[in-house]
Amino acid sequence: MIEFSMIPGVEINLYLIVFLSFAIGIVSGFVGVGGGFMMTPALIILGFPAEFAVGTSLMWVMGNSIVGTLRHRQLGNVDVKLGAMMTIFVIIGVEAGVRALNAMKEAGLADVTVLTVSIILLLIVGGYMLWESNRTRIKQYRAAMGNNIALPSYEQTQLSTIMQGIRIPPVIYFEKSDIRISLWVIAVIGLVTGILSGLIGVGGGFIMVPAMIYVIGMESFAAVGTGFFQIIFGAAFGSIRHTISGNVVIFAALIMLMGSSVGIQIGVLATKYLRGITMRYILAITIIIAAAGSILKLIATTTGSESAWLEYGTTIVTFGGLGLITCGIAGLLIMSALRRKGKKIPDWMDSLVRH
Amino acid sequence: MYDWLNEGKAYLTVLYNIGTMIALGAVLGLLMCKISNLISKQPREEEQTGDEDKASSEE
Repeated sequence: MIEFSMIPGVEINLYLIVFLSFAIGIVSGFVGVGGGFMMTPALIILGFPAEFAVGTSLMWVMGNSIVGTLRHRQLGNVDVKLGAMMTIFVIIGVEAGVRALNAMKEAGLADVTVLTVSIILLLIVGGYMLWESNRTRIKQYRAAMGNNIALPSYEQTQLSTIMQGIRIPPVIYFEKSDIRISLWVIAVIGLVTGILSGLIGVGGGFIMVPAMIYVIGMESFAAVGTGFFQIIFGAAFGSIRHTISGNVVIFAALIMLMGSSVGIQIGVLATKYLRGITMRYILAITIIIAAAGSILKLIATTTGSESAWLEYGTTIVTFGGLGLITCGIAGLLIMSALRRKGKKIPDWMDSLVRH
Repeated sequence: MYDWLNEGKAYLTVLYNIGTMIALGAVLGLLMCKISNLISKQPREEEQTGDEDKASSEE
């Protein structure tokens, strides 16, 4: 047990923090989200006061994203040019979103409105990704079975084709992603994702990674790597604000980073063995779990109660969700290894691993 | 009277926290990359960026 000087009287299990960070690092490294949405409730459950949990996890997200970016960059998954351009607009959008949120609060709109909007948004994005991944997987499976159906994997989404077709100058070519797109499109996408991030308070990854895949038309793992790169700046911006407010336990964030830096390597390793479609599946499930967490928060806000079942619910969603996703990634990695050794694996898993 | 001192202290804390996190993130990131490469073979870049990872058309 360890006691941090900034939060006297709260003793935290050191091994549990390291293990949690390790597990969240696996998920984060694979799907390209910062991981703050899991870390913050986990720290609260472990005994951190809410404001310290938010500030500390945001600081950790920054370090975590640096580790993730370095590893993904080594694998050629980071489009620095596109990421840097989008980051500028995302930061402007985040600031606008935070100001809009404050204005809404001053106008008397309660947290309930923001939470409801965020839940609807997360469910739409998560639901769409789940539907799209499932449909693509089935199509690819049928094609592989010899039904002469063209593999849909070589196509882009209709939306990304339309976006790439907009030729308002300046049109920029991104060599790394092999995408030619107008700067205005990037600006609008960056601003919209930034505003949504600032407004609903979730990290950029949840909105940015799906936006880069479905709207810009990037490959799944390139979106993951580039997403990590962008999260560094967004998290740094938030960390500065929280440090000034005195909400960051830097020692805890450093310990968490040590655990997650190992987990991230496993998550990134999984991108070598699992397919882009699997990443989209797992990101969809992660987003839906985040929505479930927000629903519990909404219930707590509307009822104004701190009942025991809500606490149990939050614990189950946080730790259960984390366990489910981590075991899913680990299980698929094992299946992929078995397949490479020539062992027979279930057909539905066969369509999720690289051949 | 001592506002400037508190303000300066806050900036120092920000610099310290951000600097420490960036430094540790960079060191751990590079170290882990090296260790991962030592443990497993370096994956080929084309494996990561194959067309198969693109999302499908909505038709």
